[in-house]
Amino acid sequence: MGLTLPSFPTDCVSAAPGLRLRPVPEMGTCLAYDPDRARLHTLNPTAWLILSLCDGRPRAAIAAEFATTLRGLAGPAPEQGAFSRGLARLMSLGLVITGSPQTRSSSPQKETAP
Amino acid sequence: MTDRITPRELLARLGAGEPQAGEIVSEVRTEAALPFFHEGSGAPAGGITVTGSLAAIVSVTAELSWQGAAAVQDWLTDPLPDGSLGTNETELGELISEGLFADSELAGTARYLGTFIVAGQAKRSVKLLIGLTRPVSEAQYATAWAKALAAAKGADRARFDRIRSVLAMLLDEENVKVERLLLLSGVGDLIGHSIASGPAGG
Repeated sequence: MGLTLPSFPTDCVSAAPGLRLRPVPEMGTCLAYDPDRARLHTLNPTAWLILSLCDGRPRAAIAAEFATTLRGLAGPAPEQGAFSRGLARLMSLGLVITGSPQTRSSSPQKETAP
Repeated sequence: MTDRITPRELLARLGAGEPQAGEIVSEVRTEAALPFFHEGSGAPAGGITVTGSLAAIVSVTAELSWQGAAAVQDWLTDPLPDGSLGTNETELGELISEGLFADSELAGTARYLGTFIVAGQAKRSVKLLIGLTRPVSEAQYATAWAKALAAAKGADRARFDRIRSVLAMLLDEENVKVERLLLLSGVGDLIGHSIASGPAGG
């Protein structure tokens, strides 16, 4: 019997389960509600982009898409290391966790209008 | 539409900056059953006892923090430091009932009615009620307080400092509200005499 490898590398990251997102573009932010811990967070567009990319892929792949997305935008880009800092911040808030989305009950849900 | 925008679209609109995320403290709740009145010490006043009819009530209401309201509660129920019978509230009552308008034609017209604490989930207000058997002008009322405090300060500095400490807790608050309420029951025919002429037939 061969060695059983995990189905995803340990550096895969995904959004916390059940996270509910509500963009508030008029305020330039996206609200993220974590129902498991009853906490509300505010994300600026860059942090929201990072969160939206965390779908269980390895960090390197997410970082590459983050960089590609920013290159397509006009205006100055964030300083080097912005992805790592943003991801670390999201993980410290519990909005992003290590692992695959298959291990969670649900992926982030977008709020509908009340 | 608000719920259809993507982060890329928002970035294209606003530009990319340093990623920022933070928790919003949307609500702060205290324990609903937070014990307020300390064990062994009840409410500072059991009720309003008035001898004679009142013409007006001065109501001083201060919205305090939990700590502030508890400090007032403690002050009211603390025994007098010299060991004599009574509490700090006794001295406050004496100052108001005996000190206000002392040495004037209005002497004895003020009544200390009590200090009441409302401690609900959303508010903790302290209400000090002073009854007046004759209505007075604001200037007369203010002068009476100034004279009473000056007399108290001259007579017993420690007592004055104690009373001043609780008045400061109540009156130095931004949200203090002083109301002067005229009582209809004391001014017209409702009880058979007017405040101007005194009891009917008297």
